[in-house]
Amino acid sequence: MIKKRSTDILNVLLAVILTVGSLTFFKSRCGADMHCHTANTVITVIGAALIALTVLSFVLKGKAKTILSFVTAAVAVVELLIPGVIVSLCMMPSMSCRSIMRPWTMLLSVAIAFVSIVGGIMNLRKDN
Amino acid sequence: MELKAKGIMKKFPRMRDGANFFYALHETDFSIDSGTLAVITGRSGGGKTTLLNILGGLLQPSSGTVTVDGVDLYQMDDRKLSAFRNKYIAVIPQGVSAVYTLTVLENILLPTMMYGKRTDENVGRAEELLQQFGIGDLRDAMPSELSGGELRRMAIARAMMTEPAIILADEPTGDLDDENTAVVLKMLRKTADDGAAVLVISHDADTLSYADQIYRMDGGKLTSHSLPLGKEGASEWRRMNCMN
Amino acid sequence: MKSIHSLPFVNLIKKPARSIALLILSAFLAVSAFGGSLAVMSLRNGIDSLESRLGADIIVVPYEAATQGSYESVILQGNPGAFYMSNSVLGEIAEEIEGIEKISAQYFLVSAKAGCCSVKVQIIGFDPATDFSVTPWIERSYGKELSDGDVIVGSLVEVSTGDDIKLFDRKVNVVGQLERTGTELDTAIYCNVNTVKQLMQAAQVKQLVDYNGSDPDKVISSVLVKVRDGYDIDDVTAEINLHVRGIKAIRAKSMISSVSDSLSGVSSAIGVLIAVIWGLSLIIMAISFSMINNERKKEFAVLRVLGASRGMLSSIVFKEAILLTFAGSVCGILLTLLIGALFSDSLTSSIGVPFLLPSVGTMAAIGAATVAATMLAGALTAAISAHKVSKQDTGVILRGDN
Repeated sequence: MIKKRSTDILNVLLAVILTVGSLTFFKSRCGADMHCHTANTVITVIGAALIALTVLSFVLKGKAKTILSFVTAAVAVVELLIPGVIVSLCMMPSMSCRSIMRPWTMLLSVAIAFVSIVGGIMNLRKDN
Repeated sequence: MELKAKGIMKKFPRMRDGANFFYALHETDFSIDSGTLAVITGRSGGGKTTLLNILGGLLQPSSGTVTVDGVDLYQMDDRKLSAFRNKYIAVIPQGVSAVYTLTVLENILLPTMMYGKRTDENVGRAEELLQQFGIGDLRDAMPSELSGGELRRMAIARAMMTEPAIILADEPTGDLDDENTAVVLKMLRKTADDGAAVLVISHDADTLSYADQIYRMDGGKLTSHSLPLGKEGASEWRRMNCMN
Repeated sequence: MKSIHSLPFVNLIKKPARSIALLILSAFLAVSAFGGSLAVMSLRNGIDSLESRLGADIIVVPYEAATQGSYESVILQGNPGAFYMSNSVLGEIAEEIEGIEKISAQYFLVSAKAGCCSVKVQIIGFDPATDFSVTPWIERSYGKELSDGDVIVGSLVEVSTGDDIKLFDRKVNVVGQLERTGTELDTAIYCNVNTVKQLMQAAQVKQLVDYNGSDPDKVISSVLVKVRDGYDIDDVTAEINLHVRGIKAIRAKSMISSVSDSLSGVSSAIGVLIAVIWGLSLIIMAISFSMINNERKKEFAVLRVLGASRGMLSSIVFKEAILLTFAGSVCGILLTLLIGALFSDSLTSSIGVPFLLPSVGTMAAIGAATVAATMLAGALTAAISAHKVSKQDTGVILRGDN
């Protein structure tokens, strides 16, 4: 069962790390009135949405599951663009929002997108 | 094509004492002609497989020669010998002999892909063989999904793929039920009737009734053999025993 | 599968666990070689870049700033700082010291807030009429003189050209961004002398900066000196220290060489680390190939039975090794680039020394060399087992199995 669900399990783990991380180890330490604080909040919210989407993949089957995989990948790409592109960050590179929050968010978002796409393709081939 | 072995002997040094040798095969002469099915029977460990491997160009004898239509196998370099074996000699080893990373169809096509490419013609022939051996629906299966008997039939189908002049089969009916045993033996008999020289090593009594020549091997010595029945005699014997 | 030549590729795909393990090992080799080489080159490039960016032979700073290491702290560690001395020092050096080709003052200021974040921002002002350090750099990126009220920012300052930012509640216009130097100069904001003097006055009004009791119009932070050809830089440095009071003249090269010396130690350490990693990994790789091919004795025997020559079997083993090491090294290089790109800000600010990546062309060359070296390592380690496979006695294996 673990082998069959390996991409689903991995995706849930990544989404949880992303969400929890945005509140803990890669939380931006800027003040509440800063852009980066807004970015951090949005990252956490989208991270929670990714957890919901990845958990839903356990329940769905067939075409619905395939579509969900690609939707999850798209949401992960949006998450990737939050820090620094959609929501601006601090000016200085030494600030935690740029040196810690942004790279971790990008790394985990890329990983979720990749695993989702792989899972979606595997599901599509199985259906065909 | 005539496969002829003269004065072949195989010894292995014992592990502990290099001066002492274990004789897997004592000095032996053997030959088999086109259109003949010969069977060698005998107890396990008697040297039958060693003889088969030497005849198949897979094991260099300690002395003696093996020729196919006068061509000395062990005078050729490895490249030439390998190509010669691929073209003229098919060996069906005992036990499982599948390449597990290839499908059943690819396993059967393998002899034709050693020195050439996959062609539609070869695929067609492979599929025919799959049907003849009753494993047509396992075409795209992996060997790990097959039973022992199915793997055996795959190995025999593979051996027949290149329509070799010489077939050397080591316990081809091991792991097979009565029905499939009969299918395999009839195929080997047909191949011999079509002109191949077929040598079968077997403990299976059913094999004997398909043979033109029967030999016995024990302790590395081809100790006894029946008088050759001859084709006509063997056919009559089989007819009388309702084997056709 | 079309022919026997495709078999190595098929084997790798159909045995993913085995392939991935060797792929990871190859990637590890590539990460260490590529990452290590880039690190060493970047440290060297950073030092060279710093030397060329400073532009000066001699730097003159207030005596207290020299003894406290304040100037190095700003330039090398990126800690925003400011120190001041009377602008008469400029005239004294220019008039009394022989052998000076060029001389120019710089002004340092630290802004507590820069419009978005509670972080100190280093401001560096220069006199366009005399400057020879910052101006060539600005020429390359901006191509024009900075007007009053305009600023140009270092490559790591994340603002867009055309944005207005507030420094000491004064609006300034960002007109461009400088190219990367790999030094802490990349985190500073640059403006001309008129702009910086306005900011200095604004800071004084807000009581944020004290200029040692002086008028901000009458102070400077440092003097950069270019020595004329034919004069000894050490002699000129000594003359300045002798004749001008309350200051310290430092040879730019000596500031850099102390960093350079520690970096050569770091480079050697990285080199040793790479060698150890490669040595261990090659041993593991050789053992792995040997074990895997030992397990595949029967498979190879079957191929021999079907007519494969010894050369064909060796070729299969080699091809598998080459494919794996190629894929692994490419993955390793891509991973290094990804981690480097994502965490570069964090890494470079934590090491605190100049760090400038080589050009894309140089990185590509290092990457290609890494791939080649990893594939060669794979081929050599596979050679041992390829030789064993080619020598195995098919008949003995088949007989032994029965």
